[in-house]
Amino acid sequence: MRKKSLTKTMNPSVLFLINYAVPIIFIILIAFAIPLSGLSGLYFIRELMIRLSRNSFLILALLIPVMAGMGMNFSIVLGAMAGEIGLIFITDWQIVGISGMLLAILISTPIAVLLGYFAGIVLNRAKGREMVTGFMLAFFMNGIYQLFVLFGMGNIIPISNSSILLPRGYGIRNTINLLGIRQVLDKLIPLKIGDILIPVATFLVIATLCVFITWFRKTKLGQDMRTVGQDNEVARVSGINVENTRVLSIVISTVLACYGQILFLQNIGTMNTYQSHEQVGVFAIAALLVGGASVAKANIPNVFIGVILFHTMFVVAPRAGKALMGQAQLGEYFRVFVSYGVIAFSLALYAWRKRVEKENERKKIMNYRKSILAK
Amino acid sequence: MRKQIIIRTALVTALILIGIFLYVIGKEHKVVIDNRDISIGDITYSASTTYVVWVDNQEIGVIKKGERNAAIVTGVSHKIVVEEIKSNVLTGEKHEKRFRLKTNESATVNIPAIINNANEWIDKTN
Amino acid sequence: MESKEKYLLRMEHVSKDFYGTKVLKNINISVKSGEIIGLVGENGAGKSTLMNILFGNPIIHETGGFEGKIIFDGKEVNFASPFDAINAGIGMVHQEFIFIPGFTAIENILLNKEPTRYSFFSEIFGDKLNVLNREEMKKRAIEAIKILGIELNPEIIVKEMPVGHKQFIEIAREIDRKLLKLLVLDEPTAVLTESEADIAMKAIKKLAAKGVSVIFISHRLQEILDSCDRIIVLKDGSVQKELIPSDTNPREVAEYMIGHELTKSIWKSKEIRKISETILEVNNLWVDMPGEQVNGASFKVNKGEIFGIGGLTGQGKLGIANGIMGLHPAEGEVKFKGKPIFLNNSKYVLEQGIAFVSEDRRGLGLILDQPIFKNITFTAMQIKDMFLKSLLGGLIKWSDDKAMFKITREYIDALQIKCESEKQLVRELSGGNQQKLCMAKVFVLQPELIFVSEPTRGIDVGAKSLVLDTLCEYNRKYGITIIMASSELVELRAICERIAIVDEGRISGILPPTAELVEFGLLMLGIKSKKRETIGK
Repeated sequence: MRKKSLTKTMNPSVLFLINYAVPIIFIILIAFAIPLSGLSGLYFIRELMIRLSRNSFLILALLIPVMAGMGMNFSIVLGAMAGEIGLIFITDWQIVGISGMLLAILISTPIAVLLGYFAGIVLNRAKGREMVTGFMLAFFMNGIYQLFVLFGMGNIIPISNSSILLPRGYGIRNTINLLGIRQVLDKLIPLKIGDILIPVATFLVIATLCVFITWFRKTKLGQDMRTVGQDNEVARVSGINVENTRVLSIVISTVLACYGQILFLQNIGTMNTYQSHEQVGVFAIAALLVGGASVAKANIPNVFIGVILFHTMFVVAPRAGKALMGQAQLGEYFRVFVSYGVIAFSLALYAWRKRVEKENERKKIMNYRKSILAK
Repeated sequence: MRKQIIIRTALVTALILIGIFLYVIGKEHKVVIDNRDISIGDITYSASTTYVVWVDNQEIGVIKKGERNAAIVTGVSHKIVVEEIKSNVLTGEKHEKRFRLKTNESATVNIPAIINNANEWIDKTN
Repeated sequence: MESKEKYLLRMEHVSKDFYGTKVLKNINISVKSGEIIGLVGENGAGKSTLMNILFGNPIIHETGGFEGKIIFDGKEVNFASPFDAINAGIGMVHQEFIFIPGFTAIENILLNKEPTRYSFFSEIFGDKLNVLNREEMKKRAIEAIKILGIELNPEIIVKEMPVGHKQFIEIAREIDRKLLKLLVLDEPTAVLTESEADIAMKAIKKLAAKGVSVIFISHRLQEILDSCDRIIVLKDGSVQKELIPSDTNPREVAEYMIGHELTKSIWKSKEIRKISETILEVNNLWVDMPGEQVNGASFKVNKGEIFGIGGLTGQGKLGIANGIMGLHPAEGEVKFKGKPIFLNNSKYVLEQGIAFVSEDRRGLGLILDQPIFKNITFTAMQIKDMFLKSLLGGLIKWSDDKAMFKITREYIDALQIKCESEKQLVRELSGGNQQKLCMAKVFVLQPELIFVSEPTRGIDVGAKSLVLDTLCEYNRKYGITIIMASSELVELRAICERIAIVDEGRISGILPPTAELVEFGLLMLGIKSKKRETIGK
């Protein structure tokens, strides 16, 4: 009896609502929150511009593992850590400007590759449970990162710049000022429309990544990843090295996340040595899901829709919270609550949808069998 | 296969070279600018007035007699310009000097030495 | 010497044993270029082991390799993996679809052998970063489809294709291999309609005409007879007979496949009871059990009889019980004692007095890490509230250990379950005793009808007859109707009063246990004898 109610929902418009439940809920929430917040359109656009340039890259980093069927890659946090290590080094060496940023990228790439390789191998041992494993892996690696940065730096790895060292002589301070590279990319090609600064160069970098991802899908490796993503076993019997392909997808994602984090921090201008990376995965994933992606399917438009919806919410939520409850902190609680909520909801929805689809597929085949055997 | 190894090696080498290049051109140096008396060998150049100082086309500020200031510069080759101020008016008398810094060097420059075109107007330290 | 040259494949004196059990004995098979060989045999006759050896399936190497030699294309080969076999020019089309449903036909046909175009990045990161050449892919897919001779839009996503076309994708994929010399088809027509199967067979013949040899495994005997040049019958791990289709008939093939029998009957009872009251009526039952689909089976079971269900593996004999018991999605009309039964609801069916001894003893039948007494009483407790003491007017229910032990003791004695005590863990029991436990668990429910699936699978000979005897005894003593599905024709014919043979998910005929063995064989091979359904109607 339960099974029947499942199939009732297969009406196309209902299905559309279910598929895009998360974005739809967000649009409705935003529609209510914007008037409440009383923000001016200009402020709003400026904020959105900043957040688009800041976050898009990190979210784009999630796309490739989705393609390879590994779901949302929570281990992009590892990439973020690699990026931060690069930034610590260039701050220590006092390399500034665009060259500082590029050097940070250069230094952190091999670290990100190694971490991604490690994550890929771990995730291969947890097939089907990649997301929760990636989540825990991020926690675990956070511990290693802290050990490395808090005890290793200044001890094993020489750090000469006392302004980033803790007073005791080793370990990195809680906050690092990234004045040297602050917004160097954003302001590389200066363009101001009215009062709004457009970070042209940053957008160019993001566009290049989009082109890369589109191109990558068309390569043999991209096709292999899609195959592996759809069916591990079929990929294996047709001779694709499934494990290797999966590891590569995580490596690429980790490296991209590393760049994404550097891009993010150059915009912010300060780095929270021990916290900046912590929520990277959760926020990026939540944003992607809000953009209408699912665990099995995510594309470039999802990324941008996601950034816009998700961050519009965070721009307006504190003001709306203040207007409603008289408390602005509500916004920050709201941010975390919504992010985790969106992820949990999307995952549950996806699992349920998968079951409906399976049931439908089964029905279809059964009907086919009925039709041919009735003859 | 061999071609690939060559290309990869070349790429890695190129990246390392680029890294070194970035390090050199992105490195910050501290340049201390003195407007004080200085003795070089037997000669003593004495600070006599106030100057405005530009380093790499960036105004560092006004340095009065007997004072010093510091500039942070990025990269290898630099230019310092000093202009005399008399009774709060720029005289238009400019002195320009160019200098290069190695990666780990910082420098102290002396305005009276610059004005007098002394050879040892800059003192580079590691 | 010359005649030997003509053979593309020769398997000489091939033997194989798995952990001491001989599954292949001195097999000699030769295949000429362009020849279509039909390979038939019962389950366990050795067809799949033989193909695994040919393909170098890792399972063969892991179990100690094989004896004998394989000469393919003039060279002795022993493939280390299926990929080596594929590279040597052997292709395989599987019974279950192996493709990506979300890909187009083109992408599937060229899966992992896509032509690519040069891209600069491949110099750094390897060939994998070359870009797919979509035009070339399309061209090749269309070529392969053309050879098949079917109408198929290659740009369609396979998921959205008519089911019948999906099988062609796999055949097309093999055709696309330029060096394909030998194609093995494992039940390729099982999911095709008759006209589709015709097209597929035509395509295969065309392929053979081009010089590709084909080994065709099918249980559809008529197809084999219609399209093969030679038929090889395997039985019990050796080549029973080689036949030429024009010189033989289905009956002969079936006889070779199933064997001749010396004694006329192994029916244990003296007489067949005349029972007329129907207890279970199944009409047009469809069950979606993976690998055991039922496609519109209809039959009637009389009250108090032992009804057998036989047939080859994968044809749906196990699906019937699993479907009615609600373990797999089912549709259709089932009447129990004249009353319609709701499907897809296990608890409801159990409450009606129908019980099930599953073929999956360890998975479904028993909780291995629980003691015997809990296993025996668990279902009864759930379904019938037996062995429960009520406190506070039924608000709290307490398990009645004393009653549980008592009943367990009774069944341990009655079924001669060998154990230390009723508290022993089920995991520690032997397969035969576990099976008896499964039956005890069902008898405790005091059902009117029992489904028993593969009751003797994986247990030793002595225990087998004990299990069968127990079934007979409970049937005679308590009048429990038993529907027994088994792959062992012998045991069906030993205790069942009527035996239904399932083929492609439907009842192809019902025979008395005294019927000739070959009759059963013909039914299994999808050939309906005129004498079918001689009894019970």
